[in-house]
This record gives sequence, C-alpha cells and structure tokens, in this order.
Amino acid sequence: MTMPIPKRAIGLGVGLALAAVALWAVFGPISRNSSDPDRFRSPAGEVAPSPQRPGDPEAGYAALINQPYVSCGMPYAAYRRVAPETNPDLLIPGREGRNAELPYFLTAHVNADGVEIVSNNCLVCHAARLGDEIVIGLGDAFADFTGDPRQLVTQVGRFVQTEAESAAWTHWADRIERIAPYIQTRTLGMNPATNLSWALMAHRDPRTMAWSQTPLIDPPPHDPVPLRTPPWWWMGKKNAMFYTTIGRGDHSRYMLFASLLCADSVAELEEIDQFAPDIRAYLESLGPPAFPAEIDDALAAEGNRLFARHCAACHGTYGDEPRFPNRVIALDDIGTDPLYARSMTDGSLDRFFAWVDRSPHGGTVRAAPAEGYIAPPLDGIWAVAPYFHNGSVPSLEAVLDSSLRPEFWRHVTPRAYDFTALGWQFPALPFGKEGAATAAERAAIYDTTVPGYGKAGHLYSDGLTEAERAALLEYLKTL
Amino acid sequence: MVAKRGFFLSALLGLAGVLAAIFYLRPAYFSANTPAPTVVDDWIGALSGAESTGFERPAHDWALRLPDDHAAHPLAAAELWQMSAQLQGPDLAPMTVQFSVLRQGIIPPADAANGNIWDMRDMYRAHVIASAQPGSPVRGEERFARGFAQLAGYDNEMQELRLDTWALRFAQGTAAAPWQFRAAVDDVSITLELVASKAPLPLAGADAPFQGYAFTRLEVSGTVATPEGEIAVTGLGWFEHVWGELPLPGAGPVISDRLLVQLDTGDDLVLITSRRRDGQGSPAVDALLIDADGQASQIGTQRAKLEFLRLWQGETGVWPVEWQITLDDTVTVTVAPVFAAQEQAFITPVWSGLVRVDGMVNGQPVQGMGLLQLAQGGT
Repeated sequence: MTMPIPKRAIGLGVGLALAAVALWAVFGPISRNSSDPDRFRSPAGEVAPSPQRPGDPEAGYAALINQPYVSCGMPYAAYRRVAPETNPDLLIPGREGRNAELPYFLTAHVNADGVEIVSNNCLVCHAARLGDEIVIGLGDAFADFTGDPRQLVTQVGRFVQTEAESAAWTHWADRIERIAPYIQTRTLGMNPATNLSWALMAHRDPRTMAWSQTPLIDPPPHDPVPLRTPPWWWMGKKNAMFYTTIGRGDHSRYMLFASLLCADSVAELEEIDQFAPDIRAYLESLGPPAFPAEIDDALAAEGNRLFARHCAACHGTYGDEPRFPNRVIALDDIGTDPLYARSMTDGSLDRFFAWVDRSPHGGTVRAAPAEGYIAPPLDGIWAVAPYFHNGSVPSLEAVLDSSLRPEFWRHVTPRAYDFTALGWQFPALPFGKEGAATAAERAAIYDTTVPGYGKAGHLYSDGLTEAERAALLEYLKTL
Repeated sequence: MVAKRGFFLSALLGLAGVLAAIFYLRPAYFSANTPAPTVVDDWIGALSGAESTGFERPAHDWALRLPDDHAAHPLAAAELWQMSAQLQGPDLAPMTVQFSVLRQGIIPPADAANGNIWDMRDMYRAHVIASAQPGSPVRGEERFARGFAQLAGYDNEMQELRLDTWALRFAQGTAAAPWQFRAAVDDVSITLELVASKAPLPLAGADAPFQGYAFTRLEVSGTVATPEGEIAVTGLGWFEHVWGELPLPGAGPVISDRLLVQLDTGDDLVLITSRRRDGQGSPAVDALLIDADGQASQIGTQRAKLEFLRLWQGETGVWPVEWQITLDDTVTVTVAPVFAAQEQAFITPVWSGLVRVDGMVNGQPVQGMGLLQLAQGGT
C-alpha cells in the first residue's frame, strides 16, 4: 500500500513555522514607549483580558484548512513525485480544490509565477490522531522535529523541474536553510516553534517584512527550549497566549507570526489579517474530545470535591458555570523546570520582543512574558499527555504523584493509550540519552536530566492519599 | 520500521538522484500544450515541462524477481541500467569500465497499442567509458537511439540489454552463470564476464517513486583489446537497475554526486551527496554500508563532513576529485582519483572515474577502490 510522505518529513521543513501558529507574544493595549523598562515583562498572578476582534468560526475553519497563510513551499509536482498518493486517513472534511486531496497538514495554492505550491499549515503541529480520528487543536505528542529539515528539502529538490518550479523551491529552500539550525529539538514530541519565531524575526525587517539572508539582529540559541504544544481548545479561556503568557493583546495578530516564514511584505500580512479573527474565533469555539472509556461517576464526584478544594483556585471550575482564574504561578511556587520561563525573562530575548513592537502589529500585540507558568485550563486534560510545559511527565497519574515520574522514559511504539494512568503508554528506562545506541533511539528518550526537560515541581497533590489521587484522576476524565 | 522505511527512501532517492543526475536525457512525450524547444541548448528546460502522463508508478507490492526484473519495465516512465567495474591488468595497474543505459518512455504502452509501429515509443541513451590500458587516458562515448528490436533496448529472448554493439547479456539458466558484457569504444574492445558474489539488494520503499535493485559486488574477468594487443583483466563490478519516475537532472535546482566503493573488508559503501546548483544551502548526504553478507544499513549522517581536498580543472569545468569524508563516528575516509583526467564531455558533462579509498569504517582500517561520479557544477 502506498504510504504518504511522513508527516514528520514534510512537516519539518516547511512549516514548523506555521505550526506554531501562534507562538508568541502579543500585545494588548500596548505601550510603544521604548523607554519603559517593564514593557517586555508581565507579573505573576492574574492575567488581565484583552479585547479581541470578533470573527466567524465557520469562516475561520475554512480559512484554517484552505488559505495559503504560509505562502512558500515545495512545488506540488515535486511533492507528488515523492508522495504520489494520500492516505485516506489523513483527509479531513471542508477542504476545497486541490486541498481536498492533500493530507490535512498541507495546503496548496498557485503562486505568482503560476507554480502550484504545497505548504505546511497550522495543523502540522496543532492536530493529531486520537484513536481513529484526527483531532484538530490537539498538539501532536509524536511530531518529530529532531531531524534536519534541509535533508528533506534537498530530497524534494531532486524532483523539481522547470525554471519556475526551481525558483519556487529555491525561495522555500532559502528560508529553511536559514532557520534549520534553530528548530531541531532533542526529543520527539517537542515543538521548536518558539525558537523558530525568533529565528524568522532575526531575518526580517520588522517594518517592511523584507527578508534578509543574513540575520539583522542576533539570532536565538540553536538549541530550542523543549515545549509541548498546548491544545487550541484552551485558547478561549486564556487571556494571554502560551505558557508564560507572553502573547498579549490581539491574539489573532499574534497568530499571524506563523506566516513569517514566507510573508515578505506588510501587504501579505494584511491580507492574512483579514481572516485571522475568523481563525481565532474558530479556535476558541473548539471543545475537547470526550474521554473514550467508562468513568466511575461516584468516584469522579468525590474527585470533583477534592478538585474544588485543592486545584480549582489555580485551574478553575468546570461544569455549568465554569470559571478560569487566568493565573500565572511564579517559578518559586510551581517549581517546574525553570529554563523556559527564565530564558524568556532574563533579557536574552528582549530584542525579539522589541521586534514585535516595531512590527506592523506593534501597538496591538505585545510580547510580555511572566517569570512563571500559567496554570492551564484542564479541559480535555486526559488527551494532552505528556504533561507540563516541557512534556517531562508521561501521565496524569504521575503528575498527581511525583514519586511515579520516571527519570528516563519513552513512548511505546506503536502508540497506545493507558486509560488508567491517563497518558500514552511508556516504559521507564534505565538510561537516558547518553545511553542510547542510535540517534533515533536518543531522540525518542525523554531524559529529564537534560536542561529544560526537568520533571520537578507541581507537588501539590503529593500529600493526598492514594485513594484521593485516584478520585481526582477519575474526575479529570470528565473535563 | 520507521527507520527502515526512511533508510530505503533515502537510499532510493539518493540512488536515483544520482544515477539519473549523471546522464539523463528526457526527450519527452509532449502534450498538445507543451511548446517544443526552440533553442537547442535549452532542451532540458523544455523537456522538464513536458508531461509524462500515461506511465505508471511502480507497484508498491513489488518483490524482486530475477532474471525477469533485468528486463525493461515499459510501464515506467524512465529506467536506468548501470554497470561499472574496477579492474586490474597483468601489471596490477587499475583500469575502469563503465556502461550505462537510460530508457526514456515517450509513448506509454497503452497509447502505443493504437499507434503506428514506426512511432518512437522509447528513447535510449547509453555510454561506455573504458581504460585502454593501465595508466592510459580513459575513452568515452555516448550514443542515442530509438527503442528498436536488436538495436536498442532489452531483448527478452536473449536476456540482453543493448545499444548498437554494446551489450550486457544476463545469466542464462542458473543464477550462478556469468553475465557477459561486450563493447568497443574508439579502438578499445572490452569483453567481460561478471558473476555476482553478493545477493542483489532490492531498492524499494513505499514512498519512493521508483524501485529497482543493486548488485554491489560482482567478480569480473575478461579482456581489453587495443591495436597494440590484448590483456587479461580481473576485478570487481557493481550493477544497478532502477525504473519509475526518476529525477530529471539538469532541469532542477539540485545536483548529486555519487561514490561507490568496494572495501577490502568485504563491505561496500554507497555515498550520495546532493546540493543546490546555485552553491547555496547545505548539502544532504545519504550513505549505505552493505556488509560482506549483503545486509545493508544506513550510516548516520547527523554529523557529516565533506571536504574537497583537490579541485581539478577539466575542459568542461572544475571537478572536486579528491574528498575527505566523515560521517558521524562511523566513516572517515579519503577518496582520491587514480588519475584526474576522467572527465567526459557528454551532452551533460561528467567526471566519472576510478578512485582509491583509504580510512576507517566502523573502527576498522579499510582500503578500497571505487567509482566517483560527479555531476556538472560539482564545485
């Protein structure tokens, strides 16, 4: 049977960028006063809401899966030479024209030279298989960004023909060449989109969006901080985007930075901005998938009572009258791996936050991270393993009981879900990445001793009894 | 399985990329809307826009069947057979013989059934490169022909691949029987017998647009004759045959070089580098090691380093004829030409020549001989 080109493979190069749909900062009612020393920081504690532009969710879905908001990519003809058929399991409804025959994570369009282009779209990171279904909005825990995307770009290039195709391919290859050093993660399932955003900004004039083959400001460190892609269905509750609440202001404009790979003019950004509020409205309309197995209602009710007592202050309440406190927990309190929050607030990335300020969206979005992590909504939490911002903990059971957190582990292949521990099945390993025999094995190992991958923190439920944790776990299935 | 699939895909893409890159002519099955080339030297550009509808991609449930798969696969748009041998004469000096045949489908079989028998359904392009005698300049010639019985193509009855007087006849009867190669280029006549000493390596991947197989080590013996006399030669050969949708070199932005090496450990090494024609970007490297038992494994290229130690100015360009190669902790070898003047001014110029290899593979010191094929623009 013909297999499609692996999602990993295509995904990488093209679009990481995209994937990220949102990676980062935002603005609210922003101060563009560069003399304000605090303009790139937010305090821990409550996150205030920002006004959002209204949008049409239905139009947003259509735009998300059909519009070429990433406008460079591989020539369609070359893509089809490499991947002649599409696995039907990768098709999703609502796609138009050529898109109807492409995997959900690719979008086609015809460029100005008349070349049909295939590009990654947001779903390369923000959709994933759960059972028999592609769940839009679910961060892909198995996405593989550990390789060098330039290998794929070159392989596709072997099948490119005609001058126009070559020009389109070269345009895409140039971009991937520049960002490739910054988007190779150490571990499967980790998303490099944040570092990708910084790398793209380093190559763009924020005023004109003009691309420079050489960096205009210092690029970010090569090694991306490990991050797990959060689900889109949390966006409707959160007043700021991303783990450190860096993305403040107009969320739909923040998401536009996913187009930075290819958008070479302010006009192109403005075009995308026309439908960006619709996409945001669609994302906020998403709900989590229902837990697909039996739930012990009585036990879940007991868990609900425990949740209200021990968890709701940070994670909110659920049911008929949900409330979400939008609270950033300071590093000293939460105790989870500090690398990401520290790297965002130690000043080493401020040049990118300033880039946002100077961009066409400056004044409506602002990059202002807090030195801590937002306590996320827990809707559909059963589905978003592995846990914490860095994916260091493989199951919810281990989130609630830190003694169960393995130091070294990997997912089983093929993937299988553990309906008891709530997470993808994994074996604990006696060795970390250093003990791996091959590069592939090394990439598959979650090694919590590697900087940024720590499993510490969030110890609040360690003091509960085993029975109480079991009840909490049962309740979490209902969210 | 993922790793295995990746391995085969890389192998295939790399293999075909270079195989075809070395000499690819794609005369074309022009669609009604495709303008014919108007400038002679822009024919590749014109052909690259031609359609190749009507041909089929290889079946994914394919399993190698020999000798049947030695034959042409007319449903495939393109097909390439390539044989090379690194030989020694009586004085043990190294010599080379290379034979390559490319079939380009022009009219798909389904359409041909309703056409005129005089239609040109397939176009063949072949070359022979050979040493006249140890140490002398290599001779090279390329020829073109339409597919025609007993003139150009694969003769099923004879189990023979031929173009004019150049012919490679595969084993009749038992698999152990020798293949026979004969050709003449300029004043050099070559007659060789080849016997496989390793099982064929199928080249197939679910994602690949082509498939085929490789015999990475054949025992070779025969004669090379010139007006000055005839010498006996022995050595090792390499043979590949792929078909399907092959890259069209010369038309795209990526060019590839290939190195085939037979090591004194019994291992065989394939290394393919691909890079942008415009000199920008980072090269991609694919490498396979085929052990003495014929088992292939991909060599990691996470930390690949290729350094050109020597550039040689030929008539058609500057060629990187000497390399230092480092692949992770697995391969560290130096590749040097037996002699530099192995350029061929074919329609698509190439440097395709005999090289010596020296270094370490998997912690073992190795030496070997092989074939380095450089595509135009190699610097």
